[in-house]
Amino acid sequence: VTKRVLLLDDDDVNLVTFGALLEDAGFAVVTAGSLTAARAAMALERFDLAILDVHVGNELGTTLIPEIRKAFPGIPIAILSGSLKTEDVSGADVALAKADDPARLLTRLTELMRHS
Amino acid sequence: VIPIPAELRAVRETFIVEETRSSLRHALRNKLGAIRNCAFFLSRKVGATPLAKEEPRVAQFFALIETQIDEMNKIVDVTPSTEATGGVADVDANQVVRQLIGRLGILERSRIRGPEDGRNPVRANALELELLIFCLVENALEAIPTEGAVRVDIGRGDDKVWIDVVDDGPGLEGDARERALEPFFTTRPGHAGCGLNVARRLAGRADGTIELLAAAPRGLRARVALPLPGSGAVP
Repeated sequence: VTKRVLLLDDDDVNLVTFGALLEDAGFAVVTAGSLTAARAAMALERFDLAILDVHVGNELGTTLIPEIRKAFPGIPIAILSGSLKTEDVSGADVALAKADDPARLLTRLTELMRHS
Repeated sequence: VIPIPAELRAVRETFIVEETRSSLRHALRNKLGAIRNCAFFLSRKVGATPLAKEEPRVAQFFALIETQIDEMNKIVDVTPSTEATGGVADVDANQVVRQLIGRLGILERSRIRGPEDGRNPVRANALELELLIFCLVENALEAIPTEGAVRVDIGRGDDKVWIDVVDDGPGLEGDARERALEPFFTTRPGHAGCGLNVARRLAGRADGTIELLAAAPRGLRARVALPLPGSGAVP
């Protein structure tokens, strides 16, 4: 069964490029460029994995974590950030760096899904 | 322009550079990540076609993109240096403010009122704390170029010390006040917009925060909140 991923990032290019990698790896991807768009997507369908950027416009993607935990109990949540050293990523299952090797990012996300 | 005391000048330059680098770092990491993702996607697709065998430079150039991105990430990944200021200690915020006012020139000193006495200890680097307050005082004095006054108030709560730098200038309204702590945002022509942002970075290094509030009856109140030594609290 194809796993559904919610990908939140305010950078359109990142949504397109990382979204393409996830689709190529077999995921069905729904992209959201804002917290409002992410909440709208969550109200419409179920997800098996959430990947959140930290800084989304003037908001923090991490504020969605409790809402995701409540709406979809048990699904893994990954933070995909540009500045892991300085950001609070508590509450997520894994924190990944945007600068990391894409092959390694996909491997970690696949493993995360396998163990969830 | 308010003359900066010589003791603080080098420290401020360090943090302006760091603030600039930090802004670039975030933007560049996103861009580099996108380029890397594109290259990875294309290399997988092209690698499965005859072109990859016919033209060895295809694989070579994809590898080159990877190494160049790694190099650029290393350039932007340099962390802030604390060598310019040394370590942290228990310092008296009142004394730091008095020292700063003493270091400022006669003109500025006559327009600034600070705490006459009292003691409020915070865990910080004394030079960085003085620079933080200087940035706020500088911003306040620039808001009242011809007349007006600046006041530095210090108080203490259960687990934190707050330092207020208050001016009676025109203040900042709405969007301008919300954005004033962003890097390079300014409402003043000819200004770089670094001072408040450097102040925010310095407050963060002392586990503190800055907020900008409207002062009564007019003006701006820049409030720094710092944890008391040993409180373990982050305001």
